Amino acid sequence: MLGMMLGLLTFKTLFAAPLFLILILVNVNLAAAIVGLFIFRLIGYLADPLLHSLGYWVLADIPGLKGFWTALASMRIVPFARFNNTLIMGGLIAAAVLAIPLFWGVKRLIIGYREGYQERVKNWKIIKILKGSALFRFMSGVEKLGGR
Amino acid sequence: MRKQGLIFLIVVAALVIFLNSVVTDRWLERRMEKFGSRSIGAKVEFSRVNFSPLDLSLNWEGLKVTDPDDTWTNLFETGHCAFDLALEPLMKRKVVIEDFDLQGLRFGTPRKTDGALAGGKKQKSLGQSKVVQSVEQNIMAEIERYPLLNLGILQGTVDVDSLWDEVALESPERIQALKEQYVSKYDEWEIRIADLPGEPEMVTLERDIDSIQIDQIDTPQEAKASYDLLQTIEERNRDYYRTVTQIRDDLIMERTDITGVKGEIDAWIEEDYQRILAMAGLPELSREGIATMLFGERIANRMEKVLHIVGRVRTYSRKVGKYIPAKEFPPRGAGQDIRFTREQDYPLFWIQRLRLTGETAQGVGIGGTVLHVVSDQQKIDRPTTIQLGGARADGAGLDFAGVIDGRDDVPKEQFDLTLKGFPLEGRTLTDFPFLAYPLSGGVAAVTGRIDFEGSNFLAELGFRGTDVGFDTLHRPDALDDELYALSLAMVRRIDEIQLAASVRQRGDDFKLDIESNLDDIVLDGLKQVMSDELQAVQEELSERIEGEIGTARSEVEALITEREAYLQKATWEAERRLIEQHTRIEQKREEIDSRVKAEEERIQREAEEELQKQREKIEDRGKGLLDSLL
Repeated sequence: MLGMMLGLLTFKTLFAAPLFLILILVNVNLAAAIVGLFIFRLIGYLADPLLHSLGYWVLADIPGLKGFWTALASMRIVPFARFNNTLIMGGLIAAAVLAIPLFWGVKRLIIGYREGYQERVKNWKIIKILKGSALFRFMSGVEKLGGR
Repeated sequence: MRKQGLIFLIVVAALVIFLNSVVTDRWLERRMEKFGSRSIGAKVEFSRVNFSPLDLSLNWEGLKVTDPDDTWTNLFETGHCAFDLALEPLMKRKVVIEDFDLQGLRFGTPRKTDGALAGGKKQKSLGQSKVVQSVEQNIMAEIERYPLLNLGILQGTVDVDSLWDEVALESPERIQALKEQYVSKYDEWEIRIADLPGEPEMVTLERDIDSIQIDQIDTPQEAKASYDLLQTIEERNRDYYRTVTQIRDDLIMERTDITGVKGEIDAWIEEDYQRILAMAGLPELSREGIATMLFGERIANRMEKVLHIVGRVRTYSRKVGKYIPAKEFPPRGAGQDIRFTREQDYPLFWIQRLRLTGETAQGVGIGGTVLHVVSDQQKIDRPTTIQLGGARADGAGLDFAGVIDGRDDVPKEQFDLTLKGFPLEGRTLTDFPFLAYPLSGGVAAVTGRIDFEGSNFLAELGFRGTDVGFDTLHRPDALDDELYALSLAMVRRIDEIQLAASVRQRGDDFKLDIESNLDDIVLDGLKQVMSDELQAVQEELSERIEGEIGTARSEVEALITEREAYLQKATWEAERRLIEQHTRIEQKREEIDSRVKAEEERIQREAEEELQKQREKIEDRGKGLLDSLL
């Protein structure tokens, strides 16, 4: 989920800082987060016009929210979050909307995988080849760095 | 808690502090250069930028901003500049500078290296203000009406045939387009006219009116039925009449537009004529046009430069001042920033006081103050004001004052410039060949004022050159011996030059006036040698234009007259017949009224007679009864 959020948000926002801190300081699966980050960075790139439109709509097309955004913009630190950028706002909303479904979806997927397919997949030839690759060794190293 | 993560953060923090203290200045310098270059569209170079994060002060020893239109020249360069950033606004990402000291400002300095950006990157155009564009176009159009005189006319070498071959008349095409437009318009009208009630409708109306037989109305029921039928016929007639009058009124409206066509065609022909004269350098010689011919182009060029700056200011103010920008389509990954600021909040950028010293391209040392250079004047409720002054060792001096006020919906800009004591030696005043000598002496004083308010524009320029002398040894190539002699005679009469120019634009009305004390001198000189040739050439050209365009014009006029007459006749005829039917309906109604009245009288009369009879009968019976009783 952290990877998804970091992937959908750009690094040039203050929103990214707490996410990074959580990633660095808390025992989460770093390898999974990095993979998630890359996947959602790609999705974010492809969905850029959609996220921009979503952000513009929320920021500019809803008059009722103008006061709220103005109040946020007048705070000391909040503007550094660049919430007024259409892409960041769009990414933030998309990440918030996707967070819960993604959490449950991925969780069910992993449980299902572990119960039904893990043993069979481990014996696939392609997986054995991949396990011997440099990328796998690197990701294993990252995972160990994460304390798992 | 992960130990590795904590160590990683500490290492990163230490690295940031180290890099900040060592490389911030260079990094900042590069960022400022990059930002400036991208904004200007040419190289912007800072030297020795020094930023102190403790007291938030920034200074540099030099700044060079390349002119994007001439990358071997600097638009301006500065010497030492220093300012402090206010802390509180900075926390809100607002740049507020109380005092900005700018020294060594110089304009138009040459560059040692090319200032073009690598890869030919150009600044994204902000787009010129439409009002400014309109004023510029009007000025240029006016100047083109009075081109420099074709000397061939004085030397008898103007060849009308070859001139005519180069001419591309615009009127025939415009007239043809107009004709096609009217043909299609009249076709539409004919379709509408076909909707008018015609012969069958009239015959039906007449038949229905005649179907009411007055002499057959005997009972009240029959009278009511006749009234009802007449009412239906009248409503139908009224509907027809409404249609006719609607078409008639529309036609009258349309005709009002069409009436102006003849004048429009004449104006097009006049435009063509003036264009040909301008192209050939054969302006109408009048006192009015002489000063424009002499100085118009130079004044226009200077005006254009000023307008360009005003346009930039307006366009930029409009861009940064806009609260919610229109949706843009930024490149992937960039997004679009929407600004949200409170009214009492700081503007994004504000230099409260800019003190500058420097030198103009003419070597005049200048100094002054610019107040409130700001991204949003409404936030601070103050306009930007400029006050500059300066002098040179030889006594030349200048004063400049400006106000840029974008607080209201209607932006206002006002600039006043005074130059005095500028030597004229070595300069040429005009490209007009008779006066195109370098000046051998003289001193000039100039006053200029520009007042821009919304789309209204007023500019006034006054020039006075005293003790003027011409270096007549530099004979212009265009002058043969005879013309040179004429030119010398003109020049000898000039020892002072006074020029007054004004440009006014209010809405669509535009007026350019240029007058000088040289007008009469030049006009007299030209008239002395001007043969009848100019008039002959002008008449010849006029006749040829009329010959070329006359037929097309007659065709359009005939089309308009013929179709107009047809449409008018058709509507009038329909209207006349409907009025006729209306009269018949009214007549029929009166007949029914009379018939009903007659019937009423008859019935009343008969009733009264019957009543009388009954009364007499009763009296007789009563009398008989009384007699028998007695």
